[in-house]
Amino acid sequence: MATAPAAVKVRRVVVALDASAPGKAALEAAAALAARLDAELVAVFVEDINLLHLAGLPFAREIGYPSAIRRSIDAPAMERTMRLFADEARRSVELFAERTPLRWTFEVTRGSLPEQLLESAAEAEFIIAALAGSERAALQLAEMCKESGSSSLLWARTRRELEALLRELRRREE
Amino acid sequence: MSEPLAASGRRLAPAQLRRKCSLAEAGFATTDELPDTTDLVGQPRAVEAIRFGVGIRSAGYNLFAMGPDGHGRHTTVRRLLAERAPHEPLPQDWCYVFNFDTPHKPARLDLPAGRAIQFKQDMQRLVEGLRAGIPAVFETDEYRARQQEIETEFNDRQQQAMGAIGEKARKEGIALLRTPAGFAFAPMHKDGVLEPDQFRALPEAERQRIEATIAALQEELEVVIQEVPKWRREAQRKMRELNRQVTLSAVSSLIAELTAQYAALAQVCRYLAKVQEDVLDHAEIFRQPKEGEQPTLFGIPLARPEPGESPLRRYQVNVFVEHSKSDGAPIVYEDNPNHGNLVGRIEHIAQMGMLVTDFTLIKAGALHRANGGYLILDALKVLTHPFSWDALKRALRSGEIRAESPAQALGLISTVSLEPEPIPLDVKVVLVGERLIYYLLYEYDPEFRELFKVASDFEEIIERTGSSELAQARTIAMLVRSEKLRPLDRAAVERMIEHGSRYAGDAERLSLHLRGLADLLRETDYWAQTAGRALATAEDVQRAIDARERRQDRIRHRLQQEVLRGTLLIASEGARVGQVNGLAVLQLGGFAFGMPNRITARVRLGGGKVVDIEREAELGGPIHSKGVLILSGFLAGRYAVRQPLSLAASLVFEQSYSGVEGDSASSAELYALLSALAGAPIRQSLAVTGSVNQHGDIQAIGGVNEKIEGFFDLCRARALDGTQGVLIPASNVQHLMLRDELVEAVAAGRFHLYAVENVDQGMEILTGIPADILNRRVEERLLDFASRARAPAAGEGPKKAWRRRPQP
Repeated sequence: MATAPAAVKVRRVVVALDASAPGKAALEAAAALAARLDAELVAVFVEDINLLHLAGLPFAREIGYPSAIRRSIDAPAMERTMRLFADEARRSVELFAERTPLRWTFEVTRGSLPEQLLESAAEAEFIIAALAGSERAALQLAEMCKESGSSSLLWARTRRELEALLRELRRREE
Repeated sequence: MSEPLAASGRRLAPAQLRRKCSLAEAGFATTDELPDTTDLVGQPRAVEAIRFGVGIRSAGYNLFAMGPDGHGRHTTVRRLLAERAPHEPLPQDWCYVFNFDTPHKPARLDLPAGRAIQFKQDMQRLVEGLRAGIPAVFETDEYRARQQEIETEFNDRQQQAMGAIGEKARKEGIALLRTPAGFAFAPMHKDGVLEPDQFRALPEAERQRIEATIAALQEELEVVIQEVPKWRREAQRKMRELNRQVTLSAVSSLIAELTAQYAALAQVCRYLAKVQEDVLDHAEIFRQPKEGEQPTLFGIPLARPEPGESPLRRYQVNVFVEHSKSDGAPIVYEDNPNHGNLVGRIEHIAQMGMLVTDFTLIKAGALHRANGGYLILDALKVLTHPFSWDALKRALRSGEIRAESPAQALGLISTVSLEPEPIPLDVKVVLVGERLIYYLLYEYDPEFRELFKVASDFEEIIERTGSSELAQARTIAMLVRSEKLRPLDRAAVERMIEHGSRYAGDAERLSLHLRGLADLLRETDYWAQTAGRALATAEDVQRAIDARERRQDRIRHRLQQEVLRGTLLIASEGARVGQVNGLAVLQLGGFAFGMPNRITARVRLGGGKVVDIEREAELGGPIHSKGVLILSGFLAGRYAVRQPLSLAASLVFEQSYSGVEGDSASSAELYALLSALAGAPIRQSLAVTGSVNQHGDIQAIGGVNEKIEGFFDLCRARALDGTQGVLIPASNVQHLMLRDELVEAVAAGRFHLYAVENVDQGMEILTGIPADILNRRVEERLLDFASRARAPAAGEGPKKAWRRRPQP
């Protein structure tokens, strides 16, 4: 976690998501935040290259949680799933923007996430990352944020963490 | 025609025609001066029976108050019960509460009288207290800290297990990745996952090693993931335990307080203990907001069934029967004793097109309300409402009341309903009904005898003595006051009493028909008001009686008119053989009147049979036929005993086109017959009533007053000439309560009444011929018939030949 810079005009809120569960809540929270702060929302959907690589391996298996059922995965299916998640995220933002005036962009990136994300986040004061599947990427991102010292990163791996984080955000606002 | 000598001895004096009532000695001028009386006039037998039936506490000694309508059965029963009930203990209160063990069988709580409502309020306060107290304890930091502790423990456990596997994998150069639906292992290369091409480039042995390692890791991971639900359950159990503990801290003090209040009532304490257990198990329902969102179905808002409709309903108390405002044993009269009103009902509420019910919707019936006291029911109503009679008997026999629908009782429905715990029954039931109902039930319903062992039989009449007249005067005075009518002066009271005697059809009896009495009083009051009098007089009473008669006498008037016009042939002068004026009573609604009826007899030689034309035409009833057969017996036994009765006679009620019943005309028929046999004309200015036996004695008949007045009215319409009169049985003289104008006519010698003891006396008056001469003429005629009957037998031969049928 990080501390928010006080009394700075917020221009951009970046939200980073991947194909994991807490994404939608993070997206909505970020959108709400951006709308309230009159900032631009930059949503970045990350197609984790590692997962795609894994899906390409001949012995790739996924163990379901919480069912513990083992099933094989392949690259096309993995890509389809990611596209599906990305589309869903995009629709969420669109829906939100229909209700609330909001400037927004939505991009889907694949591969080495942190550099690209940081690029889009260079001028952002808030970065919300809900990247359960891309832990490494998130860690890297955090590292970079710390180095640059310009923006604050809010990072959640699980739904519970995200909820705690959003509570914290609200409290700060008050 | 002048009156025969024989008649004068049997003539009745005016004083015998109407027994006057005189209350001069009672020393009152108006009814205002008469004190109220608590005694019930003329019903000692019924009152004794009620006191006995009410006093005896054994099972089956319920009462049946029987007697005709309008004789004060309800009033008497109520009054006697009201005397007793206030001195008897108050019965306890009954409540229904939720049964936590078997919800479809609501449990019963017995509370001392008057405490049920208090208990209901206490339970309401308890629930309110819990609503406030329980959410509060869940808001404390203590609870939150412990809740987080449990959650964290679970999360840590999970993460540690996963982390351990991830660590182990990393040492083997394998990464644990989160996939959209779970976890997967992948071989690492530098910072990322090994690309498929790179993997294929690896030596075969290395590839196999990786695959084997991953397979082993996957198995381990599976084991861990399978453990997770178990850990979660454990965490949930801990949470429940925590919730119970926390809830208990809020609940126990509240319930303990209430338990202390009701410490003497073990049943209530047990119930409270169960409430506590249930609250601990269902604490979450107290944590929901009181006014939640309106329920919707496909977005359409639904009406809330009831404000109290919530899971908290189960802690309500249904105060079923309570006695906080009563003193003494209850007296309940159920006017509409249908099944539900008698044994209680279980109501339903429509909820989204379904009918639902619960223990709060059990409603008490009359048996419940009267429990511990008295229940008065109208026998006919109970019997005519479907299933009520059976339900009443079942409750009395089993000594408990089950609130159930008739369909449930008959086993016709199988949908889920409630079976409330039965309530023990201790009630005295008083059925009020006609005698016929009592005797029919006694005969045909074996259970009735066991359940209603005490019959209270109400009198319709009372002997008329000075004291009973005075008692009746007091009753009149009381009715006048209770109905808020004008007081009556003494003459009016006397007139009322005389009317009561007339109503009873007996100068020595008084009618106890209270409703009739009250009606006449109201009508008298009306006429007194019309006349502008503050005090009702005998004139008003007479006017009320006359007006009532006038309202009802259309048919009598029409019949009289037809007689006067000569359409109906009734003579009231002259004399004729074989023809006599009989008297019949017609009753229509509540009005009875007498009408003369011509009876004729024709005789000829024959086979000894008296033909009753009424019977042959099937217009005569069995009693009438019996009367005719008796007079044949009289004839056969008295005249020409040694000869066969060779008479063929026919008797008829002329111009009678509907049924004739009763034997009160049998003497008239006999007179007509004897007149025909003796050839002695009968004075048509006289009319006759009375039945006859085989010895020729004249016997009493009913409706003597109406009959006499019927003939009198006709004669008066044609002008009274001093010859007209009526023959009545001597034994009916005591029943005479005739109209004043008739008595005056008799006193003036313009009309006569004769009391007759036997046929001979009657014949002498009717024909003016002494009985011995008449009887000889009858005997001679019959002997003549007998000898003529024998004569053709001598010449039987040729007659037979004449009669023989020609051979073909």
